Amino acid sequence: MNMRGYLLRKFIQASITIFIVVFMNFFLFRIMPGDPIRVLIRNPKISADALERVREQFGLNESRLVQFWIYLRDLFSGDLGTSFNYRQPVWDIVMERVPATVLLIGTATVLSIIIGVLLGVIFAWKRGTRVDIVGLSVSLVLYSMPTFWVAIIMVMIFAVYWQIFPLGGMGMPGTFYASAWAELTSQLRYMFLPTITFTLILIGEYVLIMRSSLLEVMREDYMLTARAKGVNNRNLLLKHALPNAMLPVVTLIAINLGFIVGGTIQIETVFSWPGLGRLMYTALTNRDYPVLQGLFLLITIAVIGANFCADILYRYLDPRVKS
Amino acid sequence: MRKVNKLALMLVILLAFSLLIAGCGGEEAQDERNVLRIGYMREIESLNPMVIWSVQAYEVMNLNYNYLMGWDEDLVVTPKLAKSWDVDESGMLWTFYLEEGVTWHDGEPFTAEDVKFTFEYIRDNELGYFYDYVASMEEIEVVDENTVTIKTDEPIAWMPQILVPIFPKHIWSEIDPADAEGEFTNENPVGTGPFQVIEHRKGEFTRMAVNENYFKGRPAIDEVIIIIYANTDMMVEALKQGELDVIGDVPGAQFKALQEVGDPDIVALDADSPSFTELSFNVWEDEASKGNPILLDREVRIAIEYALDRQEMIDVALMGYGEVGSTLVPPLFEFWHLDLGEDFRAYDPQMAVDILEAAGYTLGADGIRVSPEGDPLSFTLLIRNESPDNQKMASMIKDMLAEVGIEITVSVIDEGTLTDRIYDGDFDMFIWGWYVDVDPSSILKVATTDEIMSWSDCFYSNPVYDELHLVQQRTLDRDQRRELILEMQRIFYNDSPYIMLSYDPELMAYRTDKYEGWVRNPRTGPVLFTNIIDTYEELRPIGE
Repeated sequence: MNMRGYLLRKFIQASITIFIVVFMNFFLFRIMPGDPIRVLIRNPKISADALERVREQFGLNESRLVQFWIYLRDLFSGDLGTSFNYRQPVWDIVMERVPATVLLIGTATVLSIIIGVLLGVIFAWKRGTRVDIVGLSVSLVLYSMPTFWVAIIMVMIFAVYWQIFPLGGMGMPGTFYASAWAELTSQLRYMFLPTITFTLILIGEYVLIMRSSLLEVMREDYMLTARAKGVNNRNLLLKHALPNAMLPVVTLIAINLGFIVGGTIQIETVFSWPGLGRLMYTALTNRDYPVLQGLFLLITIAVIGANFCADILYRYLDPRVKS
Repeated sequence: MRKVNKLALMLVILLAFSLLIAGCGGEEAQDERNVLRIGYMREIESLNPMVIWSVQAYEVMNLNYNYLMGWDEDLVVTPKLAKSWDVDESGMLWTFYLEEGVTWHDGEPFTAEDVKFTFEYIRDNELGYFYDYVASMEEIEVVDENTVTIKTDEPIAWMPQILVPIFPKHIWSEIDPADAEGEFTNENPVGTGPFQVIEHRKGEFTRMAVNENYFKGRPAIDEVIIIIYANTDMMVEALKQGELDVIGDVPGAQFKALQEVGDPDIVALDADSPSFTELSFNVWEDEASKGNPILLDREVRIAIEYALDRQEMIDVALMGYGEVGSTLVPPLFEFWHLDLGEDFRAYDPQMAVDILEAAGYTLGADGIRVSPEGDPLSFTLLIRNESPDNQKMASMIKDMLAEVGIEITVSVIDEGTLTDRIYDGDFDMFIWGWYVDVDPSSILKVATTDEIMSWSDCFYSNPVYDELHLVQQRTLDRDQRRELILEMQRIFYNDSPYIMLSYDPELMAYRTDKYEGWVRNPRTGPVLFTNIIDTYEELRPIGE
């Protein structure tokens, strides 16, 4: 199959998935108990006129099917609706929080992939030695630790007991900095604990996958052939083993995105980090359905998009996929 | 092996880098300003007063804007934007004399036109919670630049306590009323208050700078920052480390820990709050009611009250913070609160049994009492899943009532569902709470017949009570009105549609090593998060 046909098929698959999610998203919140109008207006004393006005403003006076149609129509023009709680466009509210989360997730993901893959390679290469056994156990422990627990332990040690890093937030509001350098280091200090925590959470899995994948590859016949041809250790690893062993890691990165969103809720809550995870939690407690709906949609698109990219990358990394 | 060496080098660099960052603390410029940092757990949803509802959003509004009046620590009305007022003999024509020379944050002069505009804008467009306060204003007239008269359609006892902030006409007259209740963000709110919002980041913080020209005198604080935390432990720790000056809304467990540590620079304040938690019965005498009709019998309800050990419930569910409840108006409002004395139905399970026996509810074979008609005393208690405290209380209620032969099934549902079921009359009893206004009128009104299917949540109806309510609403003499209000509380308590479980505490903590002049207002109340902003006006750095 040619590249264009392949892309087209993948794209259509992704679009169908997104549409199904949009559909479920919409009706999931509509079948939840409680009239959304009660969330919008916390004042039962409101006049019937005013009530009708608000219903109209939020489009709640129409039937569900019509509401869905309007929602779809607005969606295509980039309108995600209006937040019940903030009374502002969902798009603006979500976009306000995206940078904080992307910064946190992005840094932690890159760090954990680089360090995780490196460690995985080393452990695989030195399999059976003490380095491998200790490293493997530590990775297993990290992999199985609950996110919020690690986060709290990190805070207890570094921000409460030693007090060398701040407790949380993205900075102390209302602080004047002596220089741009002081501001930058201050921000790095605030970023440090949440990022390291997230990295610790993610790293175990990458180490484990990388290690086992590399071990498997090293048992392949072509590795023996390469060795027999006199390829040195360095080239054996870099040119022959790694490219093949990287495949599962690419899949993992894409799949992990959904999991990372779950983790970000916990990390952002412990560290009072003003990102999407906290927005989701607050929206849930406030029954801010339009915001939740918008967030779910965004996450869906991110996860599906990542998998789409992984598929393409796969084709590039693994010529077998083409046939 | 070279690879490992490289890796080791990388790790060393990483470690060195993190130590560098760690070591770089304290590079902030020496800050000469007096910044008051407040920690809070819940977000400020908006800066637009027409759409806000939460205590913390009101706090920002109260600092940014002013009412016409304020209160002293006895909750007696004091001047604010209005320096004085009077009312004619009819009790319906009020004249407010405004402070002179007050300016808005943007420098425009504040005049009687702004007052007239604000009240009319809200009245004509029925905006927000404020509408209740202006609905009965028939005519508002500007006499001169600093005098405004308000004619109400009947004498109103809570006047002049108009809980409506005054908005600048030159800004709000440009705003479409639909927008005012919709997407208007009010990003740079212009008011007359002691502080003005200069930076607002939803879910993160709200910064307010002092108003240099505040008409009551410039506060000593230069900046107020409300910082939103997602985690109580971190917020308490930030107070301990001196990053915050005061925190509000502290949960019982953390509060207890703070008290036990006994840091000499931290005051853990267990203040009275204007809120209570009640057990509400369905006493709707209407065919549409889906409640258990046995609960229409007052004897059953008061037997339940005798059977409940409320102190025990407070000790367990609220960590001992809070006070056993009695009447509709909490004791925070000392002047209006009725002290029941001897008439209070304190915990006495034997009394409960006696009352039930005398009323003909005899013990069945399974230990559950049955009515003379043969129906079991078996009720469903609805609980909000939003409140873990209420859930603890509910399981204790279940056990305590089982002791006297009443069976309770606890059902935990979400607030939305509970609200729907209340409006449907589809409940036996539930636990929820109220937040009481400075003037007792609104909480007393909740229990009137007119409020069924509106504010009422027990569907209580008593013509005597209703009549007293109408009279007190029109009684301008404070002492005379007090008698009526005490009588209303007595009637309501005797009929027992609610069992007041607790008067809830307001737990906060503040540091005393940086600022002094914390004002509790009212006398037994908290220092912040009320409609009274004395603390912000009085606070000054220690030693100045």
